[in-house]
Amino acid sequence: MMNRIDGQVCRLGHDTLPFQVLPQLSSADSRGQSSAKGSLFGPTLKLKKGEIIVAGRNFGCGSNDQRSIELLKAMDVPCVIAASFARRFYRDAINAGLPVIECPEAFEAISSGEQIVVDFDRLEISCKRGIAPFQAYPDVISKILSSGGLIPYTRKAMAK
Amino acid sequence: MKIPRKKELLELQKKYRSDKKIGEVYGVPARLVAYWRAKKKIGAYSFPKYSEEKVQELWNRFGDDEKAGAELNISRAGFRQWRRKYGINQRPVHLSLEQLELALPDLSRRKGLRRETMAQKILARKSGLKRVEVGDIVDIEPDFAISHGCAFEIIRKFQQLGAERIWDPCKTAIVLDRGLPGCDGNRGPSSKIVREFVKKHKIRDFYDIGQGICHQLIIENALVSPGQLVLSSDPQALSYGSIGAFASSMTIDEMAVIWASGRIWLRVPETIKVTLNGRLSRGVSVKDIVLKISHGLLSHADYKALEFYGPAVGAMSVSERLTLVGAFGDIGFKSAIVPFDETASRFLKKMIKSKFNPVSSDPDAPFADEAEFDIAYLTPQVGMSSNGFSAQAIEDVVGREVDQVILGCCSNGRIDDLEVAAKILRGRQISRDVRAVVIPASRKVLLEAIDRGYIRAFVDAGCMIQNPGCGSCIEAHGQMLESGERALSTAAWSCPGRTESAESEIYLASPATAAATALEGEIADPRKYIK
Repeated sequence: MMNRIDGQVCRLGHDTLPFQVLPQLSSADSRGQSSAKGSLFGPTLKLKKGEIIVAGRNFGCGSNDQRSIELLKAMDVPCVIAASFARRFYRDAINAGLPVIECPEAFEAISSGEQIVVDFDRLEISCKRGIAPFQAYPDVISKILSSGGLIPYTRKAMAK
Repeated sequence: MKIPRKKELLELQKKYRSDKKIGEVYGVPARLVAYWRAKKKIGAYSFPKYSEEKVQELWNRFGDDEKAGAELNISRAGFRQWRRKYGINQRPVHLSLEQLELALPDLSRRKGLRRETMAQKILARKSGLKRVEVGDIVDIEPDFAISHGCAFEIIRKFQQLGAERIWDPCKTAIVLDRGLPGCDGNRGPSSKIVREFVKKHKIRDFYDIGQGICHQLIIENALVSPGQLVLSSDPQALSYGSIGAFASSMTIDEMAVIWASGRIWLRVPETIKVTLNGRLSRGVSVKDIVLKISHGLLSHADYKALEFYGPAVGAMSVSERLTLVGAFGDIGFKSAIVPFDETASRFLKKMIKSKFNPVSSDPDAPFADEAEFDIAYLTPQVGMSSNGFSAQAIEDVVGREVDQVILGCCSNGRIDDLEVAAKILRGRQISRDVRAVVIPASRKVLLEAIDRGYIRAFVDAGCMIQNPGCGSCIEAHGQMLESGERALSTAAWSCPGRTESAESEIYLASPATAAATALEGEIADPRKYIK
């Protein structure tokens, strides 16, 4: 996990389903190996490679599987910031080593296309309208994120 | 005998209280004393609700009728009457803390009561801590871990972890329910891997193809009990909350980690208390409640747990409770629980011989939110697949053509659901424009449906019967939807693309609505078929 992330923002609304963000999740032929070429989003949602997702309440709701996280990682999304997350998305992301930040203030303050900096040491997100602080991860979670996911973390723990 | 004086009777009543004992003093029967009392206009003796000491103590503490009354949950005037009854008229001389206008912490209440929700209690018990707070992340060992159709993927991850033995073969269940029997040839080898794995690790609770859907089998075979922490690899895993267990869903990676190490991290969720009032009207079922309230609760779904209360929930059978709680996992809830009660106890008593340890929330547990629904005026609902969540009253969607009807699956494939549908379909023919598929939830349900003649009624009407399992509910086998087609299903959840083609539409409804729709070939109100 990097300590400092900067990038452009792709801003989404409340109650976003992974299917709405990643349409290839719902097509039959993509069994997890979908190539992440170009813009995956429809005419309204355009996520470019390497963009930080900033979303509203309950991001990632709906029956999703780990494919959505794999696809987000394939799109080089460095982290996801949302007012709140759906449970499965939150767990999946942490277990896959994708940092997720719960920060309602950031959702209010940040607009689409903006450049932001996420600092994990100082626990704050700096954007045009100021600085939004977020909460530190509990011990287990930061260990999982720094190991790169739950599987590498458990493998390491079991090797000990 | 001459009637004693009123004063005398009152004194005796104060001393002996009952008519019988007063009668013994005079050597007369109790009914005569009652007659005397009536003549002298003396009421029967009643114990004071609040003792003189209690009223005096509260008056000394608060010095204010309103505050003291609030402590006893009575009004200001009510407390004043008690005070006057005991002749307490003097203001208290010494001021105590409570008489000061300070916002003091509620120490007296916190001391005696734990004030915890079910989620907090169960997670504290499993994590070995005395108490956990909402939002804490705890490391726990589950009571039971269940994996279903995706077991072969878990096995692959398990092997990647380098683990040699499974954590506890007695606390693990594998059910092959999804996508079987395979139709595209891809599923065959994966089942073989699972069967070999089960043999190698001596997993006791393994259910092969055709036995049924995991939620139904686990409940039918009483593998989980109230107060337990159950983790499953399926999003509809919340079903076990129907008997008062804390059930939550896990992903493939997490389940592999549980198999290998027996431990996983969980966040202690906030709890929403949902109260269902009223009685369902004719032709309306629990499925309609679920469709209606899941739309209302959607904006609260993030990571919270639900607890269901109210007379409507008390009146539900365990089967109906399975329908009630099963659907909330897909929206984003962590768990949904119907607290253990008499109904669940009667249901489990037949199967579980050992003692179980049910848990309930404290009366003043810190619920994050409370929601109340009156279901008395509810009409049949139809869930819309356009955005997955909205539900509309049947009147607004009646007449929309449907190509396929799916009746059954984990949410509504039990014997009472099939009974409702069979009663509607018996002696009638389904529309020639519709394909209707019936999927019983388990082999036991199928056998009972055969015995009761429901299966005959379905086949006579023109329906197909699929083997117990997930069937056409998910992108598995049997009747797939083609592009541009529309289906009406009793599944727990749906979103575009769930049954293969992204352009197809899926409506969700109750078994009664599904049966009526199959008859007419378009969405139909079931109430006209139910007498």
